[in-house]
Amino acid sequence: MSKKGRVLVVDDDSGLCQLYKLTLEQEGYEVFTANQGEEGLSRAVKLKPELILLDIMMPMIHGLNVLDILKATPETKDIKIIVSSALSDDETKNKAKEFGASDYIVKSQATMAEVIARIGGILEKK
Amino acid sequence: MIKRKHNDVFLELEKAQKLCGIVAELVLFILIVGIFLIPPPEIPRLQILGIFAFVLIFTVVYYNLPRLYLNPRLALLPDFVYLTGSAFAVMGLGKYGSFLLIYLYLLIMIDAYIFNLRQLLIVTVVSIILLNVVSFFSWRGSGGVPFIILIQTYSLIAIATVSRIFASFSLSMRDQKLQLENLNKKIIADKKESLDLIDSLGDGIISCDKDGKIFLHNKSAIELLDTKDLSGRYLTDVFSLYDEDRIAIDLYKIFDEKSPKLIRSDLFFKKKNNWYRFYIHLNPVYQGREMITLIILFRDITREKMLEERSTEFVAVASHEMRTPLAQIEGYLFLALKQLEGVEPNIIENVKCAHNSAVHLINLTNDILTVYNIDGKRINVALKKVNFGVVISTIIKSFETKAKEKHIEVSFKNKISKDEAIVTDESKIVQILTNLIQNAVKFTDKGWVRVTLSEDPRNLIVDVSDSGIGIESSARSHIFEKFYRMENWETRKTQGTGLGLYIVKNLTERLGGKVECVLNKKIGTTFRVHFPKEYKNEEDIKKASEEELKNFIGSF
Repeated sequence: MSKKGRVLVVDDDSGLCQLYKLTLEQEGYEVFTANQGEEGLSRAVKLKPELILLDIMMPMIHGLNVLDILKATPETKDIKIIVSSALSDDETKNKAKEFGASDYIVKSQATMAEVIARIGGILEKK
Repeated sequence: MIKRKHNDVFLELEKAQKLCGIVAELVLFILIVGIFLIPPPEIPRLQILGIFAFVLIFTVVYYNLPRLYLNPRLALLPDFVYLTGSAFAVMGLGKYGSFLLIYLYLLIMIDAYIFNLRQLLIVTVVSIILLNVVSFFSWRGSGGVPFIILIQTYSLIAIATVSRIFASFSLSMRDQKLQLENLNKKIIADKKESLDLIDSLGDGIISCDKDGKIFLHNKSAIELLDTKDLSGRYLTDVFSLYDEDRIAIDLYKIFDEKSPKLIRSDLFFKKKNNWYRFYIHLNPVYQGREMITLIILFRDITREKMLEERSTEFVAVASHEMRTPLAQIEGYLFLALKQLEGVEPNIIENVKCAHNSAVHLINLTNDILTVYNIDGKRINVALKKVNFGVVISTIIKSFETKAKEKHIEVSFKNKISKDEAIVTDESKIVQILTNLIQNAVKFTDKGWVRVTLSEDPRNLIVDVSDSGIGIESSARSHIFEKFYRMENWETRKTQGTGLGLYIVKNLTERLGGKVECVLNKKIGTTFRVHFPKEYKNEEDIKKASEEELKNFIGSF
């Protein structure tokens, strides 16, 4: 199976990480996971994935900070980032866009099929 | 109470009259006996006897008929008769120091004593002494008796009459005074009763005049406002209220003549550095066009509001917390469906059902959260230029699979220029139109769903029509209400929360537009949404431009 691309999922909920990993692998992506922000940052630098699915509410480092750091670091600034969060307020959404996120998904507002479609859409543009 | 006191006055009057009558009878009896025993030399006996007879008959009749002697208006009558009678007798007898003169003096003094007219008593005594002294000297000089007797008699008659008038006047005054006192007592008792009632109320009550000076308040008001005394103080000094943004509110300015009564439950009061939420009932009293009194009823609703907010907040947090597990359930079922493809068709059917339910549950949670935000007026608007053509095309694309499954045709007709965009909130537009198109697809089993984008000078108009089951005219007025569902709850075929159109209506109105259900003559339903080309809500625009400015600065 030819790999469509490399995706890093950063989410403190390991169940969700596993779900994204299995589903996206089913779709033909190579998937890596990280359970917290710091780990996510180091894996992003090491693995240089095409896309990162990033949670916001995580212990230790806030997702928006991870996003900010990733976009400010030369090695990782070109990685497409989709923010996926349970927060649905406009302020967080605008912040995420401002920091350079390619898309914003409200967890469970978008079904899994939609998440797959959005990831596909963003990676296709590239 | 009053009636009894009133009777007391009459009793006193009766007593006085009786006493006068007895004295009069006694004196008259002695006089008559005297005249017959010691006849004076030059007396027209018959004339005097006639007068005495008349007076005697009058006395007997008067004091034996309560109707007469108890009538205050006739109180002066016997005195008039006695005085005139005595005067004639005195003149007829022509003798100073006779019984009759003594009788006249007596009459006056008894009056003065009975009616407690001390001043009159003194005046009478002094005038008697003066008159006697003067007449004694005058008589000696002139040698004539009748003239001086005449003066004395007339003076005494005058004093007696005045004293009688005074007495009667003072009696009626006393009567009135008693009545007034009783009335006053009753008023005070009544007032105390109502004040006790007001005091026992849990709500605070304050009454102020047109300048805001407090003239009435109750205990609760003092407790609620945490002060010592309120009477005579000014409303603004003791009762300053603030709105949600902590801006002071002038109670005298928030109502007008058109809306006389006013109820507010969104105002705050600061007490010991804590904010308390107050329920305020303003009741201005007008005299003509001018407000003369403002009655304020208020109560502390901090606790109630907190509980209410907590319960709605609980719903919000609960639905929010449900998102992550729900997303996983939906995701794993989706994954299972993918993995089961081509194997076990029965299992696929079961998992599909579970997946559909999960999606439904997710929609439900999202709807509840949106309604929570709508009802709490927490809908923030993010303005930008929105191309409706593009938005509608994207939404329709997402319904392609569903439409194919149901074998219905979903089409879009764009009647406006392709590049035309208006300033509004894109995510809200998507939410509104998705809801409407979703409904159309859901309630259409065969045929089509047509979306049309057109315009008039002021609005962009989106029509969402379908060839579905339609809406009965009786249901038409209710469809935008919260939790309204056209179908019977138990026999329903489609899934839904009854929140969709409520959300559509509220979001559309939040963006300054309107939504209506247009009557379809033949088949199905058409929903028409108007979005204003020029966004009107100043606050949103201000916020949007501030946001833009922030981003602009942030980009350097």
